[in-house]
Amino acid sequence: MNKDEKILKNFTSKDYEHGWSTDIDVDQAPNGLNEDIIKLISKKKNEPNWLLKWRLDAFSKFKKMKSPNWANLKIPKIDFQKISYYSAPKQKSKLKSLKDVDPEILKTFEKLGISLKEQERLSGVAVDAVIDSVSIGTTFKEQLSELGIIFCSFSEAVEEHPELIKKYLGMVVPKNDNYFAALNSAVFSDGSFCYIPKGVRCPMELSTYFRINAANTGQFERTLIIADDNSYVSYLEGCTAPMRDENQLHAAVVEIFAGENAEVKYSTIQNWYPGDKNGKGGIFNFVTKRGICYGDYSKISWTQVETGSAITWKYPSCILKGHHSKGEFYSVAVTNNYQQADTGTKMIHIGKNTISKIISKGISAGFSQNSYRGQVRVMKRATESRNFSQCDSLLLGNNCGAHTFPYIDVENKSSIIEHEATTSKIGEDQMFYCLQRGIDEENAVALIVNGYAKEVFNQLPMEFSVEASKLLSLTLEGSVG
Amino acid sequence: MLEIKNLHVSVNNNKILKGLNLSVNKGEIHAIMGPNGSGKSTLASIIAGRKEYEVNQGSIIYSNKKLLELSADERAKQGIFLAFQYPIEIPGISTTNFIKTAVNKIRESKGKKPLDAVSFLKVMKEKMKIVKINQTLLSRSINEGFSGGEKKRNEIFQMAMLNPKLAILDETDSGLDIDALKIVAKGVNKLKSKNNATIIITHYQRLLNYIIPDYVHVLIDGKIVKSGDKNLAQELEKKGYDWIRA
Amino acid sequence: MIKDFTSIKKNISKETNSILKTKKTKVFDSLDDVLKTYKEEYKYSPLLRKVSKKFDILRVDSFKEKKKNIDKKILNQYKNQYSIITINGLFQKNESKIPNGISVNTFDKLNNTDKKFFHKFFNNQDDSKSDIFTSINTINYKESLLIKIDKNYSKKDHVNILNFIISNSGESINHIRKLIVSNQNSKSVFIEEFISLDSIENFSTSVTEIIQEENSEIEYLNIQNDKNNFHFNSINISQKQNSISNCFTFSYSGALVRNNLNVKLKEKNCYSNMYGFYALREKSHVDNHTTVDHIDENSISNEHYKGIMDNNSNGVFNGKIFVRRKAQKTNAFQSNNNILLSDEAKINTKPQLEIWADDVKCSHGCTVGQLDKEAIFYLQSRGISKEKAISMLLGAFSEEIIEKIENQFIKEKIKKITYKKLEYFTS
Repeated sequence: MNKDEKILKNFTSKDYEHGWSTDIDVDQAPNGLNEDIIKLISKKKNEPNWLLKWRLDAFSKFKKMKSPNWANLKIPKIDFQKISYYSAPKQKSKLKSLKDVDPEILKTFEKLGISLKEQERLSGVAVDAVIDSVSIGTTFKEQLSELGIIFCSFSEAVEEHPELIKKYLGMVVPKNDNYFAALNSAVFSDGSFCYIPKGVRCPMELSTYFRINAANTGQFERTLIIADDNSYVSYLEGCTAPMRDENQLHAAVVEIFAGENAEVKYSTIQNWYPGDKNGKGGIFNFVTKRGICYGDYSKISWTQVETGSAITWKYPSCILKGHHSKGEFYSVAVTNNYQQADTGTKMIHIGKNTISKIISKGISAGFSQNSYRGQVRVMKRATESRNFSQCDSLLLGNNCGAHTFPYIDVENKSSIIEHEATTSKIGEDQMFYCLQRGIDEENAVALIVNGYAKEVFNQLPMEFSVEASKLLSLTLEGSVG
Repeated sequence: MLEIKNLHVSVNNNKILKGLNLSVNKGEIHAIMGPNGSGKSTLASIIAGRKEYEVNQGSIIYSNKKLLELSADERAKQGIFLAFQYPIEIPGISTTNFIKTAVNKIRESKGKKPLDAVSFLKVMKEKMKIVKINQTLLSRSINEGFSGGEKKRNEIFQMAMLNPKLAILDETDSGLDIDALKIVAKGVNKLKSKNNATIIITHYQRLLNYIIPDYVHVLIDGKIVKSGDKNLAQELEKKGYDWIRA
Repeated sequence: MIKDFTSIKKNISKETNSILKTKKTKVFDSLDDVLKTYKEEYKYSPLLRKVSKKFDILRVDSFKEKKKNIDKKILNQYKNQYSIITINGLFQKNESKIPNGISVNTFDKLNNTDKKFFHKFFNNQDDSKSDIFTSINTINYKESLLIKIDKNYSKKDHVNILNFIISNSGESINHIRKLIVSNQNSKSVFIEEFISLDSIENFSTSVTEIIQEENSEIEYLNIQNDKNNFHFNSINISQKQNSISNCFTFSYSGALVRNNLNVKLKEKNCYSNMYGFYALREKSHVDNHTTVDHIDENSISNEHYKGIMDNNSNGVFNGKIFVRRKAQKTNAFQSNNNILLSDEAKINTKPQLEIWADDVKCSHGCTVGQLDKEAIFYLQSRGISKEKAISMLLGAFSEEIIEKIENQFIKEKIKKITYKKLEYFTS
């Protein structure tokens, strides 16, 4: 084995850090997908009748749909009947405050580096923590409510703010939008809800942390963020799961609404369990994320660092309806071992003078396949619009693949679109420069790859940026020279 | 310190060095001059450990070690420094971050603790003065958007930070105006001590007005064909290389 | 969509050569699979739907007489030039003028050695496994041509391939088929045109397989300028060691034109250039789908397509670069630039990279925009009318592609056609 191979092997044998699971008493629905299960979920959550009807309608649509096959992914057949669609840590009574949360659960989140004890949160990030199907607590609620900001679990929002849910649910991602969105619409259990009223600038980062804990469950959360006119919010999402031999399904939906001159920044560090080095186990991540820049001069910015999941199918998108609205997508997707990722974005320009920017950095290693898939669509009346896209791929080793599928559709004469993409390995001259300064190959690779992803990391809030950089270095511990 | 014997090197089956001998001791400055394509940069690359060169024959002993058996980063850790003719750009990594990693990796190899941020900054400020380089430049991505002169000054700054035993300056004077040349030369002179050695590879005699070499070697067609003192450089400047060839 | 393939099956039964019969049967058997790729591959160009409405596309027009007359005026344009002439897909030997060193024959006229030679290559490099129109062409062509370029051939003069279509004889569906073998060390230039001799809407397909032996070089140009033509064109090049291909596609008009250009770089040190220029007005719709497949090491591919869309026209570009695992040290570049001159015009472009080897340099770039207003103003300020300024700037835009043509005669010819076309682009 030569040195390169050795380093590569070293790198591919790196273990997943969050692979442990917690022993918590759970209230779990029996496996299977049918109307009764949906009714059960709805009942457990005390949902109003209209929402149950909405779910059942989504389910009937789902049954008529087919799993999408256009992505550059090999998706094993998923048996939806073998999954439990509801799992919640057992609670004696309704939680009044974080003090009532099971200490085991608090410990779980602490182990993940997320403290739910408010007095210990110095960084000023409000967290909604979701285990399996339910939210177990949200921090900083009172402080936020003083500003009129609503930040709570989705279930709570259904009870407390039904008018907002009814108005916005499914507005950006209709329940029959796609196969997995339809499934989510039928069985979603919990998630986060966030409303920023007119003219309010949210003073702290809002964050949801998702953890799949129970075996044989899927996670189907639903997130809805509404930024009313002239408001601003920065939202973070993190996720992990235990190491399990079987695949687990995560099919989430995130909807964002931005009113006039409102700005939403949505950042994700996706670190679901990717499976072992032989490709066994891991999360199937089928997520629909979409935002609408509804008002003029509104802005939605997606930043994602994708390191986990066995399969990633995800296209955070922006519908630029308001004139002068702006959509951004910054992405780093790392795949290793037998991971497969098909990810990218859609920028739909409808309003005049709309602007979009796409920066995508793919890094493939091991036997993985990494695809960027994106669409920039400029409609006829979206005059004077602009798009700039840069999609780069880096290959580490000769057993992986990098793919780029950009669709560019333009229907007016006054818009300007620029798309660039490159694929290469780490430059030999760059490596030699590092080596000559006494930095060994492993560190040189980590350094150069981090530099490569910098433009995206810079978009993340400080705390996340450091975490992302660490995560990337960890994943790339050792690599080709 | 460095002993090169009968070195034969080729790239893609093209023979570049054809029996080169060179001996460098502590405290010495050697200048290697020669026309384009004579093998000067190959010599620099082979000492620093670039991969694509093939050694067909000969040996290099450095501080009692067989240099050719060491990888490029091991050589750097042993005190070999190459100031590149064309310093590469690396996007996204600041020079500060880069050189900090390098300094600490070299310290680690010597069993020393890494420098903490404060002491590192102190050393850096000191060395920055030597080549008149400023903080803003160092916080930018390595060499990205640097002018030719800035790139070369950055090389000498890194040399100052790493404090090498054997420094090789590969055409460091090319593309420099006279002021930058003086700054670079001053830096090199300042870093010189009786414990380290310098090899200056150059096309012109110009730089040697400011850094006085102990020895001057003429490299033609892969061999050192003539050696002498600093006067040889001046002679070359006047007469060109042809008189030696003839 | 087509559901019933019985008529096409009947055509296979008429095939008398057993090897061809086997090949055609194989193509027929995979028709269903081929149709599956149609949706994505023809996303922006509903050729099948459009032609199915107007023509019975599986039909083979029976020809009554082989000899048809072509207006002397038209042929005079090509006087004193080498030309291979077909009418409705049938080779016109007497009208053609073929240089020494190149042999042209229909399959039926080949001797046994050449038939063997033909079978070795025919249908092995085309895209009948992925494109329904190539499949139909493979089964329904009336006559296939073998064009053989001898070893060491290197005449500077180009050879025209003139495909005339006469629809008023009742033949509105034509399938043109040829196999070109470029032997070792040969160097040749072909310029192919499709010309309708009447203004009746017609549907034609043309499938060309080009085999490039070691060290051979071929320059192959294609001119499309026929607004009544629903046209499918598939050029498939397979390159061996040290060979060079330079392909050009110039499209100026067409009811719906689809070009597939597939280049396989099968061995080491190949070089492929793919250039295209499209200038579309009115309701023209031109779709360029290109694929370059790097199979072995150390090859270079370079692709540049540029286009101008005015009025209601629609341009489509899809460029695929594949770099297989073995194809280390590959350099692949692709670029597509578009100018839209009307809010009714459309461009759909999809540059695509699929890479499995790590030591490669691949990039693509793609732009959609308009002419620089400053530049128009600058020219106007020098006394040039706005219309003239626009056509001058569009000419400059086309220049980058035209300049790449090596053959001087053809370069001038294309320049003339292009500038004449661009005079009308003044919106």
